[in-house]
Formats: sequence, C-alpha cells, structure tokens
Amino acid sequence: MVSIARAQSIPDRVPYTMDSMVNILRPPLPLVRHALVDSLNHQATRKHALKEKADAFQRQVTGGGNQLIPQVPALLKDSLHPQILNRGSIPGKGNIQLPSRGFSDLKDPVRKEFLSYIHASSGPAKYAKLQEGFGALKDSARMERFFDEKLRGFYALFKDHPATDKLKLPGKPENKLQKAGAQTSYGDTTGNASGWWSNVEVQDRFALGSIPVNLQYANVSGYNRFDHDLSGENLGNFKFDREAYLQKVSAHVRKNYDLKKYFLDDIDFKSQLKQFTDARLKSLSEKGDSLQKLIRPEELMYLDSVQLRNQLFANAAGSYSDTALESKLSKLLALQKEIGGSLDPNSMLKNQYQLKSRMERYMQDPLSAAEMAPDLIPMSGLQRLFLKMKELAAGNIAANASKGTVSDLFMTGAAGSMLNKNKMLMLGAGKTRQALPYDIGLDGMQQAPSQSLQFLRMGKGDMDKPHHHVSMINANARNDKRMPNVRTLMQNTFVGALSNRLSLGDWGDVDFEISKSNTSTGAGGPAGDHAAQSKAAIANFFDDFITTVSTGLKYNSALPEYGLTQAVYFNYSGMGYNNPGSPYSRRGSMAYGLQVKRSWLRNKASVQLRTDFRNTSRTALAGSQWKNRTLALDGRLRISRQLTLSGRLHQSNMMSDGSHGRQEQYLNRKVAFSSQWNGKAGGLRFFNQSSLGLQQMHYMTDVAPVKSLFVNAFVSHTIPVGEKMITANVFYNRDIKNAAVYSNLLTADAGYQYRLVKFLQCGSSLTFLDNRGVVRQAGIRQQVSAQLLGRCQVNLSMDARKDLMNTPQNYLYGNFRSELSIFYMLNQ
Amino acid sequence: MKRYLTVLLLMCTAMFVRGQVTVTFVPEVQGRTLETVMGARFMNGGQKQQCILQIRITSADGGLIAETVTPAFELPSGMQMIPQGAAYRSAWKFGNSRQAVVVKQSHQFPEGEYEYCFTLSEVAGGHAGGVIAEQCFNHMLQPFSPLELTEPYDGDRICEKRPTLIWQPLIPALPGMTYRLLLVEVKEGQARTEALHYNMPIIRQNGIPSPMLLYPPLSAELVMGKRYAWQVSAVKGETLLARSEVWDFTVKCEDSVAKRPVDSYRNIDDLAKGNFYIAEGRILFAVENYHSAQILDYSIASISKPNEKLRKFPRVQLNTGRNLILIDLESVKGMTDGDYYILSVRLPNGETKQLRFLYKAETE
Repeated sequence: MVSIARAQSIPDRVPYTMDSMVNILRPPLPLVRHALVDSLNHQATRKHALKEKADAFQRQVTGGGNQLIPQVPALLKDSLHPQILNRGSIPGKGNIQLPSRGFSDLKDPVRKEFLSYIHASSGPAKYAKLQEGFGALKDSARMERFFDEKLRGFYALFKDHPATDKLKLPGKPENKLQKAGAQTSYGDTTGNASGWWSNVEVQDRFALGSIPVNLQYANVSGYNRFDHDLSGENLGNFKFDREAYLQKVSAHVRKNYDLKKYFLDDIDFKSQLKQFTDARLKSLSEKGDSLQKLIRPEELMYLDSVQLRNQLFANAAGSYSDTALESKLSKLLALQKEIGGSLDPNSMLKNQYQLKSRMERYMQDPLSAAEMAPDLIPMSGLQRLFLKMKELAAGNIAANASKGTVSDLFMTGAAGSMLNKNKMLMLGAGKTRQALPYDIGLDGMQQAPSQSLQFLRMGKGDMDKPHHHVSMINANARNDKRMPNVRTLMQNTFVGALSNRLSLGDWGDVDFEISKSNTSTGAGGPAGDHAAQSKAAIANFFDDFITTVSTGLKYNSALPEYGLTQAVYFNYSGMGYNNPGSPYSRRGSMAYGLQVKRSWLRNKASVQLRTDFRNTSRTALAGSQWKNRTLALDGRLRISRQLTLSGRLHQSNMMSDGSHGRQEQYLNRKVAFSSQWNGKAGGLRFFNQSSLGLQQMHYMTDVAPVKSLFVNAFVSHTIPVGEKMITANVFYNRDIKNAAVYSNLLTADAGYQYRLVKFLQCGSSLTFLDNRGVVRQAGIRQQVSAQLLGRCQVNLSMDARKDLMNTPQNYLYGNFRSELSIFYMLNQ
Repeated sequence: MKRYLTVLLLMCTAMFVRGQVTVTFVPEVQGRTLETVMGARFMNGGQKQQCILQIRITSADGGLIAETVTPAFELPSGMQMIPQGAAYRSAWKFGNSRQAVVVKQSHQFPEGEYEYCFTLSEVAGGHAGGVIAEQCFNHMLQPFSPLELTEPYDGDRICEKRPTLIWQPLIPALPGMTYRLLLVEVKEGQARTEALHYNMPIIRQNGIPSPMLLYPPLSAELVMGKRYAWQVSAVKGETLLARSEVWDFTVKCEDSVAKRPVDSYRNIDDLAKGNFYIAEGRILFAVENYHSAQILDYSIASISKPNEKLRKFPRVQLNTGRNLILIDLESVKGMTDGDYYILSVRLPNGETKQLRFLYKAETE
C-alpha cells in the first residue's frame, strides 16, 4: 500500500466520492496491474490444474476400465463440477489485441475471457467501436486507463455467476401495488360546511428497464351541505423513485461483483510490492553487475533517500567507485519514486484502518452505485440518465427549490432536477393550483387563482451543499373554473434570481439569495397582440429595482462540542415583489431574526431562544408600517430518567405605526410549564404529561378590541396494563376576563384500549365537554382497528355526544363524527 | 304637436331605459387589487347591450394610479360582472408615482386614499361612445396585514397531541370575516403542499371567529412521530381574503437523551470468564434456564466499598429456555459511578455465576 503511506492522515471532510476513494487506495498503476494480472494468471493456472485433476478423477470414476473406486458419492462428484468445470460463464471472445503491456502479460484463457467481459460490460456497440479504435489508441493514456478499470472489474467479477449477459439490468416491466384504500368521514359540526368527505387513494410502483416510478392517485370528494354539490377532485402523479433505483443498481452490482476485490482489498500489496521491486531491481542490473547484491527490496521499500545512500555505500564497501555508486543510487531513487516513495509503517497501518472503515461505508451507500455502475454494468442511455436524475415528477405535484425562487408551489405539470459532475439543472413547467378541494363555497380571490409557469434553475453545486445557482421563472396568469368570480387579467411575470450557499467549514454556512420580479399587465389595446405582450415582462426586467427586489441572507452554524447551534437571518422584499413560484412570499417587508440553542450536561438540559422582527410597509411612501416582534424562550431540564421539566416564555405582538401614531394591534403573551413523568404506582407503570400556562391575548376585531387572559391546564395520564392501556385526558382553558366566547372550554375523557380478539384492537372512552355558556356535552367514543388477512387494515371510529345544554352560538362542537378507513398495504 | 310630444316621450323612454345601469362596488373588499376592481358588478335594469368599460383609479392628490379600457362586450340584463374574456383583453396604463409602480408590479394597492371611477359607455365605431353609467367611489384603503401563523412554529417539535393553534389576525378586521383552518398529515416522501391537497384532513374547520383554535374534541388526536402541515385562510362570505403560509410541525416528545441501542446479549458464562465488564447503566447477559419459570436470584455487592448497602434491586423474571436478561442498574439505590461491583447469580440448576463489573452511569 505504497501510496497510502504517502497520503496524509485522511481528513474527514474529503468529499466522499469514488475518485477520492480510489485515488487513495490505488497504489501506482504498474503495481496494481502487476498484482491483478499475476493473480488472474495464477487463478487460471490453478483452475487448469484442478480441471486436469477433475478430468482424471472423472475418468477413473466413470469408466476407463479400472474400477478402482467403485462407489463415488454423487455428492462429491457434483461438488467438483460447478467450481471448476462448468463456470459456463464467459465464453472466450475475439482475437483482438489490446495495445497494452498488461494485456500481453495475461495468459491465454484469461485473455479471451477478459475480452468477453469487456464485451459484456461495455455493451456490443462500444466493443465494436473499441475494435476499430484500438489502432488509434495505441498506448495512449486513455487506453491504459480503460484497460486498468476493466481489469479491476474483471478481477472483481463473481466468477461463479452465470452468463455475463446477466450483467445487464433486468429490463422487463414490473408492477407492484403498494397501497390502495379509502377513507370516509362524516361529522355534523356546523363550522365544517360539509357533512361527508371521502378520499380514495392508490399507490403503485411500476418499473421499466429497472427504472422505478411511483404512481399516486387520490380522489378527494365532499358533499356540500349547502347546495348538495358533490365536489370531486382527482389528483394523480408519477414520481421517479431515486432511492429505489439506486438500491436496485447497487444490489445488481453487488450481485455480480465482489466489491472488496474491486477495491483491491484482498491483495497483499506489501508482498506484491516486494516481488515487483525485486523484479525491477533485476531488470535494472547491468551485465554481471547486480544491484540486487547491493540493495534488498525491503531496503528500497522502507529506507528514505539518505538512509538508502548510506546503506548502499556501506554495502558496496569499496567494490565500486563513487561515481558508479552515485549512478546506481540515482537509478534506485528513480525506482523508489516509481513505486511511490518509501513507506512509513506506522502511518500505513493507521491509514489502512481508516480506509477500511470508509470503504465499508462507501460500499453500503447506494449513492456509490451511481458512480461505479456505468463502468461495471452495461447500461442504456436512459438508465445512465436516470442515475444522474435527482427527482422527476409529473402530474399534480409540488415544487420546492428556495424561498426566492420556487417554494411551496403546487401545480399540474412536470418538474425534475438532475445532478451531473456537481452541476445541477432543475426544470419545471405547469399550471399552478392554489384552490384547495376544501375551498368549497369560495368563488373569489384577491389575485389570479392560477398561473401557467415555467422555471429553470441551474448552476454549480447541489441544493443542500455549497452552490451557486441562477434561476428564471416566467409566468402568465390564468383563471381557474373553481374560482369563477375572479376576473383574471392578462399578466406576465418574469422572475430572475441568484442563489448562493457558501460553506465556512467548521464555522457554518451562509445562504444568500437575491431575486427580482417584473410584471407587465394588459394587452396592447382593445385587440392587443397577445403573443407580443406575453413576453414583455422580461424586456423591462430591471425596471423599478428596489420596489421589486427580494433578498435574503442566512447564516447558520453548529458547534457540537459546546452543544450550540445558531442561526441569524435577514430578509428584505420590496412592495412590488411578485413571485408566482412562491405564492406565500412576503412583500414590502424587512425581517431579521436570531435563533440560538444551547445544551448542557450531555443534552440533559437545553435552552433555546428565538427572536423575529418584521416590519411590513403599508404605504409606498415612507411611514406607515406594521411592526411584528416575536420572542420565544424555551428551556428543558431532564432531572432524571423519570422526570423532565420544561418551560416556555413566548411573546408575539404587532404594532401599527402610522399617521395616527403607534397602536397595538395584536399581542399574544404566554408563559407555560410542562412536565413529563414516568414512574410506577401500585406496581404499574404510568406516563404522565402535564402542562400549566397563562396566556394573554389582545387583538382588534371590526367591532372592538378583545382582551383575554387565559389560564390553561392539560393533563394526560396513561397506564399500560400488559397489552391494554388506560388513558385519561383533561384539558381546561378559561378566559378570566370572559372576553372570548369560545375559549372557556373544559374537555375530559377516560378511555380503555384493549384487544377484543386476536386481530381486533379497540378503544372505548367516555367524553365530556363544557364550553361555558355555549354547550355542554357528554358522550362516548369507540374506535376499532383490525388487521385482516395480513395486509388489510380497517379503522373505524365513532364519536357521539349528547347535548346536556346547547345554544345557537355553538359553531364548533357538533354531536357526531365518524370515520372509516380501509387500506390494503403491501408489506414493504 | 301630438306627434312631437310622442317622439319626445319615446326618446326619453329610450334614454331612460338605456341609462339604467348602476355600479355595485364595495371598495373595502373589492378595491384591494386590480383583479377585484375588475370584479365590480353592474346592475343592468334595461336590455342587454354592447358597451365598453373604462376604469380609472387615482390617488388622493389626483395622480393616476391605473387606467383601463376593456374591449367591447355584451352586458346582459340583471346583476352581472364583466365577462372574463373582456377583462383579460383589456388594455392597462399605469402612472409613474411610487404607489402606481407598486400597483403595476404586484396588482395590490398600498395604503392610501383612492378614487375608483367606472365609466360604462356605448360602443361607437369600436371606441367608447355615449356614456351609459358613470360612478366614482372614494375610499381610504388599508391593505391587509400578512396573515402570519404563530404557534406551533414552523418546523417545531411539540409534545402535545392536541395542540392549540394560534395565528395573527388579519388587520384591518372586516365585519363578517372568519378564518378557516386546515391540518393534514404529511406522509413520507410528500411535500407539505402536496399533503394539503392529497390527504384527508384531520382538522378542517370553517367559521372560526378568533385567531385561535383549541384543538377540536371531535377530531382524532395527533400521532407521536408524525409530521403535520397546516394553513389558515381568512374568508368573508364567498371571497377568500388572504392565505397564510404553510407551516409544518412534528409531534415528537422523546427524551432529549437518545435511546441507546441495545447491545448484544452475551452468554453469562463468557462474561464470567472475562475479567472486565463495563456496565453502562445496565448489565446484559443471556442465560439458559431448563427449569421452570421463576424470579432470578441475584445479588450485587460493591468491591470498592465493601460496606456499601445497595437496595431496590429490580425483579427479573427468568423464563424457561433462553433468557435475555437486562438488569437496570439505574434503579438500584446506592450505586456509585466508577466503582467496582460483583454480581452473583444463582441459577436454578444450583450453579453460581459471578461477574465483576465497573459501573458507569448512563451517558449519552
């Protein structure tokens, strides 16, 4: 392991790529080649010898007159066959000669098999090209590299595995239903606006050419109690399953190749090196003047240049002149350089250990398959493309990149991203969908309900690693038949953004993004030229810069030795910023904040502070603003394994600044303590979770300001008794100032979960609810869940309450709710 | 004379019939964006007719904010909005003031005093002809504050399975405005907006009057370990006024100290032979019992402090067959971190196994 010794102690942050692994592992090429060729030839010889023996044995056993061995157990005979005789694998192929020194060193049966392997692993098309190209590629560096890679692959190939045409990934279509089910719920709470809702769901996995695609379908429908309209929505998508694909490829590689051999783990390089050095020393000797007598191979391997010189001179002991010795020394030094320099046994051992563990992790990681596979198994263009594909989805899908580009977007279209050689490309196009299935009864919105958009993001680096990306979004407003009363205007928006992440190493990461939008509205005239207008937004892209720009800066870092994580951010966006790709992005605001978390005593205690400041402009001129301040302080202390205490202090308020001075619009101030306690009482374990809090809430309504002061308490107690469980929950929220109608609530329930028969898990509880002055109810809740036939799961729950007192103000608390769901699940 | 009067009367009637269009426009709700301005309604008392609509919005000091001219369209009788096609194809012109720039770029009106003037004209040779109706509305507009969610915070981990959901109210508060809240589970591999659309909601509550929702008692409680996404919308009548961001949180309340994976159970014979065992809070071993089930007979004594009294040894059940025994040393009273102890186990077959160990309090 010569070059391993040369490498410095491997820093953990070295990127975990194939190149880095192999470059560290790989000793100088001539040595590797020598070792592999040697080993392959040796195996071939041994195999040949065994074959001879087996043939002889077979002749003895099956016939040839001499019945020396009357009864040979069939078992013994058969055990010889598969190993030696019927590899059945690589038929010898071709008579081409690879113009490489290593190739000529390969002995004949091995040579033919090697060629056949190249044919199988690179594919017949490439093989044919190689045949033609060999002449041109004589001895070039590319040829040598190709030969070495193929040699390593051939060396690592599981020889016991049948036919190398099995090296290809299985191509036939596969289909596997993952999950199918239906859920339906009915509730009579007034505020729900709909009695029935149902959801039918199907998840399926389909693979073609070993490329797995997940299909998801859902039908969401509800019965609108007001106008008896059954609103149904059908949603579906296809998604490429990257993880499954990499697992498949990785498993396939592992099935065909012994990866330990591929990483040359089983070759004893030290002895190989010794042999190699020995051979080279021999070849370096001049007539009758053997260097071997002067220097042993071990000395050449281990001594540095000064020690080597001393040793040489000592061994020569006057037999040679100084100049002759100098010339011999220079030859030796050249040879030493060829084998990679002198070895340092200590660091060699340490590096060897580190490398071994990294290699283990590397081989377990399916991502490594993506790197190795193209060299080892023949893959079609499409299969290679999908190795680089990070995501690909079509249908009703979500798209997310970053806050200044595409974020929390739901659309009907297609989107995908690809990473190749650390360059990322993300593309998407579709029609956005803001209206939810549950927007029943709504037919108007403030803005265009839908946009037809296309986006592109590309640059260097992956999304969650240091990167420099450029993005572009182009969108045109569209209407949505679910919102028929919105009058959509002809509007074209173009957004351009630059996104960067810089890594400061141990000091954390900095994210910086700047995004600018431009909108053009309206046709050119009563009969305006639509086509010309729709691209107009990009034409005046840099207009109104400050008003339409949005920028964000975030710094986060972690210091694990102090148990400290922190993040700081700053965002600004102009009032005119309009990004259809990020429908919830903020306009006209400047925000900054800090988050710090510190833990002590091996995470037994922790404190977290979070502050957010946001100023949102109301006018285009300076002056009126809403000022939001949020402060949250959380602490947690684990007193023992039985008890954990936590406390929280939270304040969130909004002031309105303007011509009328400063006015408080909203205040939410809360202090709360909670505990988690598990212990034993009366021989039974229990889990108790409790919290007590005081909350002050002030806000403006259209009528008058509301000022509430809540006391809230919550206790949840669970006692597991064998397979059964007793639970009790009490929730109490009281507005001491009696300002809010719906906030004086007491709910309590006591329940018992048990197994009725082997496959039926049930839960029964008694419930009680009292909203002071509005409603009082008592009821029962029954839940049943069953696992039928191993794969089918049925859940039924019913909650029925009887009014002990009711008033017309009761919006939120109905009397009945039931849910039923049936799912067929494939055990994955 | 009679004829003259009849013609005059007929003309007047015609004019009267034609002029019966009034504009219905509520600036407080409809004057906030260009799209809602185009949503003004027209009460056409007369017959259907071709017309062109001009809307001109100016600021208090007379500066132009935005102006539009629609192509010719047919206005049916009754209460009608401009047809979508006409609205889409209308031509727009914007002023140069900063307010106008904001309106041009975002279609939303900043705070200010505005005058919205609607002029409905007949069509004369492709352009606006005689005026059918003209109405102006003045309004001091206060834009909506951003609808921000408050608690549980985005990405937070909470302990409660029935949390109270709080958000910032929409200001200015319009009469008749209520909130809607949607809470769904986010499944593996789903983005949160996808979850909002595809999954059956856990909470889907309309008509919430205050910016807070105590967890509905009729809804199923949240499940430990799962991730949930939620969003609030502010609604007035049939119009959606504002939507909050989508936030998510996870219900996860495990001990802050990571659960240690259970190490392998080595056979007690092996352990007893070895001379060094470090017990990190517990002792693990495997033992075969060929006798009936019984309580494991064992004792622990301190080697470092022979006089130390140890109490409250946990009861360990020994079943028939192979047993994986875990003795939780944390619950034994009197153990000292860093001391040596000896565990003596009396097996049912009469053998006694002894194990010396170093006790270390559980670390993370």
